[in-house]
Amino acid sequence: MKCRSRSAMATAFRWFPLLGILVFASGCGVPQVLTPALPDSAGTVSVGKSLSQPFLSPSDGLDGVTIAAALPLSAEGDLLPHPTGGATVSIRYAPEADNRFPEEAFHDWPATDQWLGELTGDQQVGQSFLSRYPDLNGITLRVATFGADTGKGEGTINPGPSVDVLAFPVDGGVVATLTGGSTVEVIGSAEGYAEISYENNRTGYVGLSAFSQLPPAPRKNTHDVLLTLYRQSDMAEVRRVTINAAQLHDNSHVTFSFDPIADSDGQSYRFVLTSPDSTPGNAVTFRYQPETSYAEGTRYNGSTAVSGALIFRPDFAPSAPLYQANLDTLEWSSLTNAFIGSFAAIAGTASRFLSVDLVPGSRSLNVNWSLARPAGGVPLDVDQNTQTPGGGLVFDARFRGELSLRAIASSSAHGIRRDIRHDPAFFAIYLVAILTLVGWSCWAGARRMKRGR
Amino acid sequence: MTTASVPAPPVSMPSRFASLKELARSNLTPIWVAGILIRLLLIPFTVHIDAYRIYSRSYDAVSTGQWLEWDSQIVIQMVHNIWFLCIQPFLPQSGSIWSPTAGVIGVGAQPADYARFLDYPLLARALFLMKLPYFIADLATGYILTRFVEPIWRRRVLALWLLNPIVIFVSAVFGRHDSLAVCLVMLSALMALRGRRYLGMVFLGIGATARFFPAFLAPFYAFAFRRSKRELVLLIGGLASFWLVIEISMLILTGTSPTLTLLNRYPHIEYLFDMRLAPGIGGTLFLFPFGYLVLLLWFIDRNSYRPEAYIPVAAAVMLLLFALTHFHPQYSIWIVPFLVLTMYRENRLIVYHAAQIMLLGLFTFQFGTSATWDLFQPLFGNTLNALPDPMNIVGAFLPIDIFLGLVRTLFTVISLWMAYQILRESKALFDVGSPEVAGDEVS
Repeated sequence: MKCRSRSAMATAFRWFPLLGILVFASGCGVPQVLTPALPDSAGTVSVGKSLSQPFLSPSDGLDGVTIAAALPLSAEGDLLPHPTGGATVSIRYAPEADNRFPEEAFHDWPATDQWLGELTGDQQVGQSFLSRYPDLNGITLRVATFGADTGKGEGTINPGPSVDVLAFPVDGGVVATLTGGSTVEVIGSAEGYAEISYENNRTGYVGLSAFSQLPPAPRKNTHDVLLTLYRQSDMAEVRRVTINAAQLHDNSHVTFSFDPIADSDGQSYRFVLTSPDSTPGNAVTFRYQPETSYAEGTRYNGSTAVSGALIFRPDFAPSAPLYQANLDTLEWSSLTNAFIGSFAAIAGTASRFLSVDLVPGSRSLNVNWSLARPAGGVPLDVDQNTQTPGGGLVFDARFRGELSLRAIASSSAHGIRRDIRHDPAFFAIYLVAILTLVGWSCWAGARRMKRGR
Repeated sequence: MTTASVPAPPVSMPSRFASLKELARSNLTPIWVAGILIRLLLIPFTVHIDAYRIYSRSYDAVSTGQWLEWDSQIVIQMVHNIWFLCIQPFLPQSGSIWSPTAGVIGVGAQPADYARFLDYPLLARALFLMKLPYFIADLATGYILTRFVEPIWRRRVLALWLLNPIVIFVSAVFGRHDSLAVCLVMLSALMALRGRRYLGMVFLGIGATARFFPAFLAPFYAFAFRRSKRELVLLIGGLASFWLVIEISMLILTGTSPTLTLLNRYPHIEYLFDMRLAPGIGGTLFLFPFGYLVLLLWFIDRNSYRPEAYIPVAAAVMLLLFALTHFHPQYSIWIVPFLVLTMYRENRLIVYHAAQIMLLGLFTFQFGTSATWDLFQPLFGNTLNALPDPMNIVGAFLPIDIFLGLVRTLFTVISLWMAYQILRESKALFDVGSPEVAGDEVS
């Protein structure tokens, strides 16, 4: 028996280094949560059709979600059967919430941003970027046509029904109405809307199509604008999109759409804008940030890297949910009044914006919201409304990320090598001091042993 | 009268040369070597932004000539200013690595400043020189502690101090200056126990102006080492004068009061009142002031004239302080020195202290990455950025309020229990006595 156990021990010791190497090489799982505790609830909000809460995922290995809910309880304080009537929870990539690209808020046109010159002839402007999500299917940029939409002066509204004047183009609130056939002063255009002046110098926006007559535009742009997408690693062309400049609106966003690239997650790309046939006076331009905080890509002029960044954001086709479940089937914690969903770890979530989406079932669904927004700073969206309540969903997410011990060891070795290279004099003295200390202690110990003390 | 469990100080004081010779030959060598080696291996590769802040203020003082600008911690800042003046020639092209806002209360050193510092090519040298005074203070304190006890116990006392994870963490890893004040306070105690009470008072005074923790020892010092009411007045007056001299000097020189700055602008005073009971209408019971005053009144009531009583009661005061106040992990070094002198013969207390260390490690988690992974930034660079905040790791296992509450409760219970044990074991020293029973001066 003793012999067998000794043999087992010997075997264990023989395998121990191998086990150590495997652990070292493979790294170890580090469990963590998005927030150490569920945020304090500031109230409840009723979900009519849908709710989504985007957040920036800190780690790979998403394997759980906790959602606080205010549900009707029985007299004994227990959950009723099917408490949400089959509400669903899902988690998906939320690239539309990713605010790390140079593109600013839709209506923001800061004066610090500038227009490039006209894009003509052999000119090429480019921008590289890291795509963090799958199914890349477009690039949105800001374009100017040098007034090709309309000139300044009097414009006439189509005869017929009255037309709304918006505070901002596209999605601004209605600030006035214009009767059909009326005449207004057009002072500019943006996003395919004419900017008009009305009632004591107030300004508003009316769709270009609402006009029967506009002041003549100072120019027309007629040539094609090409966006070519390359894989940054080998500059192989991946997609090419052509839009005729005549279709572009002044001071507006334009999306160059293409077929989704399924494996775009984690890939670096460079898009290049050209318009070979354009000439001065018949060309468009794009907007850029001369100084940018965008660090995951470089702006190019031809093949030369230059400072700043084109104002852009990549677009992605909606992808299948990473996780989906019926809320009623999840574990209920009466300690935190929250549903807890656990699932197999999902890779590829680190540093991505994800969204927790809720769709009510046959019963009303009331969830808790908090004044604190989750990582990423994006507010809760209840029935397409991000203004009310404006805070964040009371929820948490759990992860099991991998920590590479090898990377840490290699980094520390690299750090020490770098320090020694930078300051050899100090490290020479440092090493001598340590060796002297160790040598002296060995000598003192040997001497002591020799004396039998 | 029963024999005290805390031994009397040695009766003879050998010459310095003889002491050093004895030190080299003693069986303390492995402890010294291990203590020094551990520190040498850690010092150039670890740091906390606190160390950067104080040296940034020193750079500011030295480069602008405004040495008294940082008036709230004037003594310890002045020490750093002088030391910075000495080491600056060894840090070439370091002018841009210091933070210009470190001396602005409420602003402090910015992350971009700290990143510049971490990118300094001679960072290891800078860290070594910055922490050198703390390293020396640790060694000096270790030496001083061995002077309190009989030779047979010195090895253990030295090991309990020099190899103590709290001490190593605070001085060598964190780069915290508290070890300087600790050294002065222990020197003060040694001087006092050897009969040089007024010299000890001076060291305690300097220590208390460097860090406010020793101020809580001052009344106990005065009562433990007085031999008459007149001396009590002199000792208390002396300590108060110390504070007054600094206060008035700063008022004259800068027009501001260091004490008021400390009281008005620092959260540290609030830490003392952090633990409280609110029994109902009519007031709140602050636990640390309550416990401290009870201990002080009890000590005064014992009317003991035994100087040795200072060591266990000082250990109890520090345990009480950390058991009943909020604190940052870098302050915890103050628990150790007096505790070492009371627990070295009590294995049970050593086990409790080991539990304290473990709980302090867990307690440190609540201060996030800055007090944990970030300390190793000079070595690992940004590799550890991939590691989550320790509280986010804890949160994956259990609710953090339960975790923190449990850690805090256990730490408080163990610390209070240790304080009680120490006072109980040393009760012979606290017997009501008279000036006649006080020992003769032993210098």
